[in-house]
Amino acid sequence: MKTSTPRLGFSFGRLWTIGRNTMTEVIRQKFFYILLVFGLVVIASSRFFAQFSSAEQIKFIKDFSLAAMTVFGALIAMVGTAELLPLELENRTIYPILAKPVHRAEFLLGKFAGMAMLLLLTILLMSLIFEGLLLYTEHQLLAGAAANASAPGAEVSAQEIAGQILHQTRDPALLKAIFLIGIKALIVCAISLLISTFATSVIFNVISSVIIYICGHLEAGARQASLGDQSPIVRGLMLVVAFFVPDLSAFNLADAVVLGQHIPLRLVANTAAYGIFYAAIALALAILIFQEKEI
Amino acid sequence: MHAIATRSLTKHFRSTWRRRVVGLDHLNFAVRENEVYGLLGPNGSGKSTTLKLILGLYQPSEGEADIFGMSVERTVSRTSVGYLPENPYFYRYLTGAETVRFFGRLCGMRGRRLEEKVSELLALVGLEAHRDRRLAGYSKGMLQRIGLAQALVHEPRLLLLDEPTAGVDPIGSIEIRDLILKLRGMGKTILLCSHLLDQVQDVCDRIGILHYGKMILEGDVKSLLARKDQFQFTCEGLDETARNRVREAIRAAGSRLISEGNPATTLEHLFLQSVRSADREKTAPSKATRPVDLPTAERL
Amino acid sequence: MRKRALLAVALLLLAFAAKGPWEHHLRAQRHARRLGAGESLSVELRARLGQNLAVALLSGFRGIVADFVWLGAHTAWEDQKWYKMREGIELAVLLQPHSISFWDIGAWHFAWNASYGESVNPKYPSDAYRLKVQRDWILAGKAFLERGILNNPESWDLKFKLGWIYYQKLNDPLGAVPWFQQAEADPEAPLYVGRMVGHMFVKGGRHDKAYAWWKRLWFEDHAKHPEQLWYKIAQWGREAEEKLRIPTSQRVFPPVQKKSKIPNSR
Repeated sequence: MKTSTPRLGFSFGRLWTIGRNTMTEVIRQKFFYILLVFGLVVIASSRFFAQFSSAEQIKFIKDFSLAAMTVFGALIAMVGTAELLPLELENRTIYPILAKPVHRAEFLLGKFAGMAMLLLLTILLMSLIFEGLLLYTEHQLLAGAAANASAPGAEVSAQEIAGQILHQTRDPALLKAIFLIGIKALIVCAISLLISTFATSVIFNVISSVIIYICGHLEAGARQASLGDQSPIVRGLMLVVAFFVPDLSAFNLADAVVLGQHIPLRLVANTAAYGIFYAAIALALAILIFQEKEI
Repeated sequence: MHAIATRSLTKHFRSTWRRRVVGLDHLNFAVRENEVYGLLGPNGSGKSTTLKLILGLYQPSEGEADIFGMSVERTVSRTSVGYLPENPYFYRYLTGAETVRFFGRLCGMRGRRLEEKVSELLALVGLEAHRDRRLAGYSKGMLQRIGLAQALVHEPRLLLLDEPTAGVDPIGSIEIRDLILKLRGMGKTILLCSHLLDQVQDVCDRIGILHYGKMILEGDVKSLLARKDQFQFTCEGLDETARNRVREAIRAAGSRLISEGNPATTLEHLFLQSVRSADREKTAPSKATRPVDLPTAERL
Repeated sequence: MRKRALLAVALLLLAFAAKGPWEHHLRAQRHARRLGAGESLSVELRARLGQNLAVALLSGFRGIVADFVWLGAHTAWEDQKWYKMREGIELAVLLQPHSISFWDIGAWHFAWNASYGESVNPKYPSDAYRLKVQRDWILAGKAFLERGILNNPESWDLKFKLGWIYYQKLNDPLGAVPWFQQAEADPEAPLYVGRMVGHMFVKGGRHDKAYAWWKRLWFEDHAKHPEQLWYKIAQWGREAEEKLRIPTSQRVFPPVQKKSKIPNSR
């Protein structure tokens, strides 16, 4: 005889418990090693270009650091996320959790939340190192600028030269670039989590994520190619790519920021919203698949 | 209301060659409230499948199952269930206390109530001294006990125990067995799967035997095991003359004497007695060593 | 259960379809602001970049790719391989046409470094030839900056540098004037740009225009630009008044004052 069953609501508390645990789990693995490598790359890039002009030096540091953040953000997202579910299944740690009154959606989203927090922390830390390096370079350049301030007859003040340097090193638009790098990493995380709901092999997951990542940058070209006169199979494939794969090139505003181009806040917000929307779709699909999965 | 009730519960698996393998074949069984039910069967008989279906880890191909009247397909049904998996694995970097606390949080417990529960359960399973040790350093028996603790954290009415004493030493097994009986005394219902038939016999009220996904035998333990065609007396202080008179009385009644002799105690009982005796002597070394006393028969 | 799953899949497909128009909109916005501009990867560009850089370009690391190409140009400069250097610089601006520093420093390499290097190149048959090649490089620098300005009309710096080429390399201070003026019109341009306009008029012998210019600067709000070299402007204005023999009653510039404190840069 069935009684009327009460509903178990969605709980952010449960989600947070799983998320925090996920973060602790992943931190123990690769976090520090990746950071260390990043730190070395970034610092090395400044030493390499010490003989260039201030504008060139600052451009190189920004280009390299933002690219490193993009790459390592995406790498951590891909590799860290790809392992989450397979490890839980392999180690059977998932059974006592799902035997508790925990919705599968809460479990999956908790995993995502844990990775998201970890990515946030990683990017924050990388940003601090990046900023530290910029300030150090700024200090060195300003000391040099004071020494040779004027073009002949123009009597340029050291203050004016300093102003130009500070304008480049203390550009708040860098935050916009870093923010979008973070959103991009979240998208990659969501995609990787989706793949892990149906693929058991971690390697397959990482390779697929890499392919999707590259396709995501070609996406705009793919749409055009699908309209051009290629063979129907190629056009069909391009259309599939264009339909499902996110346009990751939209998040590459780092180049524009480094070049000093103005990027309206509205564009940043719109792009971020698109990224969150895509991640939400991917997660929704992942939840659907995971709910039917036999574990 | 039954604690667990299944109706035509069926599970098919697809093997690699797309052949359908029957995991569970229209299973109908029920576990009454406040009983200890033993689910037995050879490997591959469907015991784990049954547990996973009850816990919602698998979707049934046909049929349905309820826990206290709530369909197992609803997540809310698991508020009433605690599960100890076979060979339990938890996050190795968490300590014993952190593990129980983690599961408590998943069940919505917080704050002081959770902390008190954690301490209470660790004391109950005898792991208070190891609460701050990482699980990576726990023995199998200790992991089993932590498994029990997390299964009990949210005070469930029903417990599913999969091989609760596997890999545990005899003393630990006795303690777990005593705990199961204590939990029944507290009003809980227990469904347990085990290959250790002696232990099942000692603790279960009813048993069911699965084979090829079907229930082939089910019933009350005592009545199933009783050999109705034979009767047994066990007595003390019978000398040889008296024994002869008894043998004669049996023959006169037309019955056949099947066996006679000193009954054996169980190996488990012998082990327990020896170890406890040694423990006592360790705490009181000045007393003279006494030989181990073997009782002739003793029901625990 | 099945119905719910089907509904969910339908919703998801709808969501995926919605992403297309959204992407198109974002792309249009970026295109309107010329963000992410630069040559797309073609077979020709791929050949010029080589395999690794082509992949990096594909993966969205345009800035790094351009930096590496620029490194190559820099090395060519150090080796005095002027045509190889030019190739690298041209490729860098092809990849990142909105990099002001590429246009700026590239033009400097052409108009200063290459032109000087060629002017002392012993391989050339005569001084006349060396002079011609030197001038060709200067003109190349000028044309390069003009292209840079076309690509980046909002850059005061490139206009200033073009004016500088007119002044320093073409000995045409009056030719520099319109470029310095265009640069000065940008509110982000530093104050020395404005002062250069006046100097160019003086160098070109147009003291009347120089005087008009110093007056224009002088009557700007002093409080708005405390870092401006007001005392110097007063001095130059005074000098112009002397040169042009402006009647005392009509003179606007005060007598030369002591140098006022310019706040330090740090």
